Amino acid sequence: TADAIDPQSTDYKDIILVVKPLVPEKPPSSMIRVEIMSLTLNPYSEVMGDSAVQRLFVEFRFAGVPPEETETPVSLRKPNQGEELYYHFSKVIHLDGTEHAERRDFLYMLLDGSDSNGDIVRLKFTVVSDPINEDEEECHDVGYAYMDLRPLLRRAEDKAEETLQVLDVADEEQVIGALRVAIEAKDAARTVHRTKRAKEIQ
Amino acid sequence: MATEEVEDQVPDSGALFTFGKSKFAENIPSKFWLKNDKPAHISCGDEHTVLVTGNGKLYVFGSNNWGQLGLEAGSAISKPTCVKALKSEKVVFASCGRNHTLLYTEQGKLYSSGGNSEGQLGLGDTSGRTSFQEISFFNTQYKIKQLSAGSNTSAALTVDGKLFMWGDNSEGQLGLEKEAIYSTPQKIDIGKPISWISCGYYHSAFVTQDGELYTFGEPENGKLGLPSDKLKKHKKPQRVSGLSGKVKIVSCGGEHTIAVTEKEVYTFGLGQFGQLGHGTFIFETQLPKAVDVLTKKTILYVTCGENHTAVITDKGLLYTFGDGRHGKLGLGEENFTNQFVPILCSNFLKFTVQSVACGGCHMLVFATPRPKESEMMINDE
Ligand SMILES: [Mg+2]
Ligand SMILES: [Mg+2]
Repeated sequence: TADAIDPQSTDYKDIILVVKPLVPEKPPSSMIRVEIMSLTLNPYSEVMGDSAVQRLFVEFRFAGVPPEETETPVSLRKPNQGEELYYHFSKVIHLDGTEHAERRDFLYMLLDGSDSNGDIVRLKFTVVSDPINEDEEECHDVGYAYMDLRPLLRRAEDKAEETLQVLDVADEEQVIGALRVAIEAKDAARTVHRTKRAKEIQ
Repeated sequence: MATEEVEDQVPDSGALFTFGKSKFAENIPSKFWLKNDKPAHISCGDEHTVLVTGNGKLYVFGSNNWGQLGLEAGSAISKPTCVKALKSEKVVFASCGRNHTLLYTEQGKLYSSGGNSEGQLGLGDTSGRTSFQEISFFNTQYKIKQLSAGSNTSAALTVDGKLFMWGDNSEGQLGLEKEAIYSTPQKIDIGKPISWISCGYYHSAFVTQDGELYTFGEPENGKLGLPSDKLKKHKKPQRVSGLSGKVKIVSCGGEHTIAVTEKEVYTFGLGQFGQLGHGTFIFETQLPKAVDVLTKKTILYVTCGENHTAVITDKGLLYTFGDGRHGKLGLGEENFTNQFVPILCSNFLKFTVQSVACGGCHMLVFATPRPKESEMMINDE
């Protein structure tokens, strides 16, 4: 019986079969991950007092990625005082291949902090009001938050977590809340930067 | 001990599927099975996982910093590894706590390994162990039907409904009022036999054989499902009311609780990540509230991770909800989000989900392939 067998000698039986990955692993330098973690709103902000604003989602824009892929799939009810809304929306953006040249260019601009005209480029997040009655009302932007990716190349730690100020759409001097975001892009940032620089020198 | 790579053809005896920060296969959603054995029982701790096989073997992987894998303490184990130290004893089932593990053998012995800061190993002291030690209290005199390990708590339930608990009682999570820790098993007696036990992170719950639900431990955020006037007695097991039908199963997570009755699935506590499944407007509930999406389904099993929840229906389908970080809900390969209502795991439409275990940031699913002819009959309703 099995009990009679010395367990030390039955190693040959203990074989774990692991399924091969279907697609070969891509290197971390070929993609970045952006995460919309959570949102808080300033209790005294106008949006908190605005009864037309009932649900909120958050989106960001990344050139070359369809916008519906970079918004939180759920809208969460407006927070109570001091409450944090947790989306934990995590999106991978692939950068490899000829079809993704626009994405690589955009990442390069983000890392550089400006476009070819010298205008400031930051990763922009938008807090959007999602009306409950979708027939009568339209989604409208409530606030913007900007992430400066220039420090990314210097950072030792990957997964840079940041709390961004959410600025009022109507008056970007007004802070209406805070958005916690994270980005994992160190390898991709270095690769894109190196490739771009090499081309510029040529 | 060997690992081989194979094609994606799951055998009839089924496969184990890992999601989230399992420490296995670099945390990429993966599956594995055993060449000459089959899965029988699974459990997840905060960062570790155990698998008991049909042949009574114990396989472990994940964090081992406290010796919770029973393989001496050390860095995380990234491949399912057989624990040989139990020699010829066959393991029947096991339960993983936050940083310790309990197991029960065919010989009727109970063993523990791992962190022991609150006496959760039941060995009469608070020194950690890095290999499985027999809890002499039990001494083969009890037939155990269920084990549950919480943050620093442990429980063993006998076939005839006797409950023993030990470990951290600082919040009354053992249902005892006196000491802050108990390093040996204590009988928890409410005068009637108990049929199900669950230890959460800082709270606990059990079901009696006549279908009543009792909760105790940390009182915050509604996870005990009790009205405010009862919360001051949180160190005593108190009956949760307002549930329709007899309670069958309960599971406690970090800040939430799920209970299944003959009629409904109820959740209560904190649901800031969606782990209550009550949608995008209710992030906390003090009293039990039925999960609408599950009302029409027959539920066989529920379990909570720290902040996510998994449900198996009578059709062998898996629903998950709550914190989606690291992909632990099993709902996507690389893009994740929190889910505020139960979502069908489409990965398993071609499988019968046999069991599921949820940890801090991971989930393990045991599923067997559905016979080809029955695949057509499966739908969401
Ligand atoms: Mg949209
Ligand atoms: Mg504890």
